[in-house]
Amino acid sequence: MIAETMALMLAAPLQVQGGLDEGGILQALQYPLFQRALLVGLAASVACGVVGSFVVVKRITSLSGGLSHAAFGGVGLGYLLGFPPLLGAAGFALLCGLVIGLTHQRMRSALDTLVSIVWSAGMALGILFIALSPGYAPDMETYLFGSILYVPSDSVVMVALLDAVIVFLVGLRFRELRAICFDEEFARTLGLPVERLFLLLMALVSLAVVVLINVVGIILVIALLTVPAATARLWVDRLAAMMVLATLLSAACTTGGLFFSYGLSNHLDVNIPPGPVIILLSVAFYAASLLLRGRKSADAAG
Amino acid sequence: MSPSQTRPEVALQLNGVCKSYRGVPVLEDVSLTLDHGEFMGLIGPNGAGKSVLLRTILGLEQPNGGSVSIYGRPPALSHQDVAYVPQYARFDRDFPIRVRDVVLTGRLRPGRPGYRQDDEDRARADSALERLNLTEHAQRQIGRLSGGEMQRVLIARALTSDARLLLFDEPTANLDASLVTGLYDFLKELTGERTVVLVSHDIGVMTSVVDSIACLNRRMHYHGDKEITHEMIEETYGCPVDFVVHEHRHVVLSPHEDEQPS
Repeated sequence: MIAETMALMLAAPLQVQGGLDEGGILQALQYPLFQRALLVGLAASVACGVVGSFVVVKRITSLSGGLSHAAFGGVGLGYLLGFPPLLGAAGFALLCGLVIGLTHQRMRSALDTLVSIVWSAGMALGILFIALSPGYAPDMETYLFGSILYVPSDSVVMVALLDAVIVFLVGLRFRELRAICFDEEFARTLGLPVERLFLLLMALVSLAVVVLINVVGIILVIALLTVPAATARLWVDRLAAMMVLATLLSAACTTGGLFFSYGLSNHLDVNIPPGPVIILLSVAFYAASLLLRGRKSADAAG
Repeated sequence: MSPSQTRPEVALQLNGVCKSYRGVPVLEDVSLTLDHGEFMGLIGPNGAGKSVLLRTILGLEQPNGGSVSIYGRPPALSHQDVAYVPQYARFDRDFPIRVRDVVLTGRLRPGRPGYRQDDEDRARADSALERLNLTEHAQRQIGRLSGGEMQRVLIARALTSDARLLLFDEPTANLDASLVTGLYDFLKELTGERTVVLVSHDIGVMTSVVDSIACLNRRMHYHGDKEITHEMIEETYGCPVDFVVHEHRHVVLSPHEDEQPS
């Protein structure tokens, strides 16, 4: 069904203008929908690279999956009460991030347990809210599976704004955040506000989750917050460099995924959504990097 | 009230410190006064509360009773005056950070954002690196160091701060005997400039470098000098023991019929 929507989106301008087959895939750049998708993909890459690097080095990848699924509760609430589902997703992700952070820090509860609870509770709430909503939730699947080709223009603005907030906050507290990720106990002995910094990290992950839901959907967010950063880690040995490289990798994957998807649709009449292509591309980068670099770093460490 | 000679500043004062977990006492009535520039060794069996004591001094644990004062201030206000060198690196060796940046984290402090780190911070880090012979490793990823180099990084990180009181938690536990001597020599060098508390099992070597030795087993046995009496050992280890010191290792024999304290 997603594929049909996309085919429609892409095919419509094609048929209007006609005879575009000769132009190759760069022709895609003519279409406002494609331009917007590209813009969102590139902007989301920043959130993906910066926050994904923290997620990977702090080893909280499952947390990013948990928060994105918890956000589905907010999507459902949006349908039920009639406000923009993405706003609900943002609220739910932030709330769950802070609740997990506080519970983990204050009650010493295991992070993986908390993540599983929030993950499933959020999904359950989302399904419940949607079932209670009057009528049919038409584009619910776009939140689950993502629909980068269909992002409304206000989402572009939101992604850009969230990006700015993320970069600003990380710029302000980079060394402190790195310190708590690297050696939390030592950070405590320095008197750093470890709990507040951890909550800041939770908030950053929540914001990044909301950004990335636009690109690949709730289910695949965990991949974009993990794979590009993990790939970058294989090539560089500084956190800041890892963030830059992960951003570039993610930009390459989203751009590549969009063009690949367009090309298939245009030339072979095969309609697949770009989200999964983006993920698979990033996994391919990771596998290739592992083959090229994994052995080397293992040798050096040993 | 005789006019006493000018006494150095008191670096660390523990007054009847008590700590228990779920009703089980870990520290009981621990008292101690340590002058600035002193080098104190702390020994005690496993589970004697040595780490808890260090954590209490660092302000990571709140005592149930008694008080801790570091250069006249409570732990919560003296993070900048105490630095901690853990037994081993608990962090992820794969973390993307270089040696110099690890050492620079020692300069972070609350109320002064990390982005404001300046030339003085960097100069302090570089001099700590130089002092510990790590300059050539400054730009290496933290995991690509040997055990001895890693231990020196942990020390450099602590030295980089302005802390006058340094706490070492069994820094020699994972080092070869050849490195242990070098480390003790270095700690000896710090004496006078900083106050050092060294937790160790290495009673033999330790007595040759420290100014005083304290024995801890829930209670503190401390006389302000480095004489270890048979009574101190007996009270600390809970049973009469003979200890044989040869080279850098000691073997504790327990020829008694009582039950071993757990």
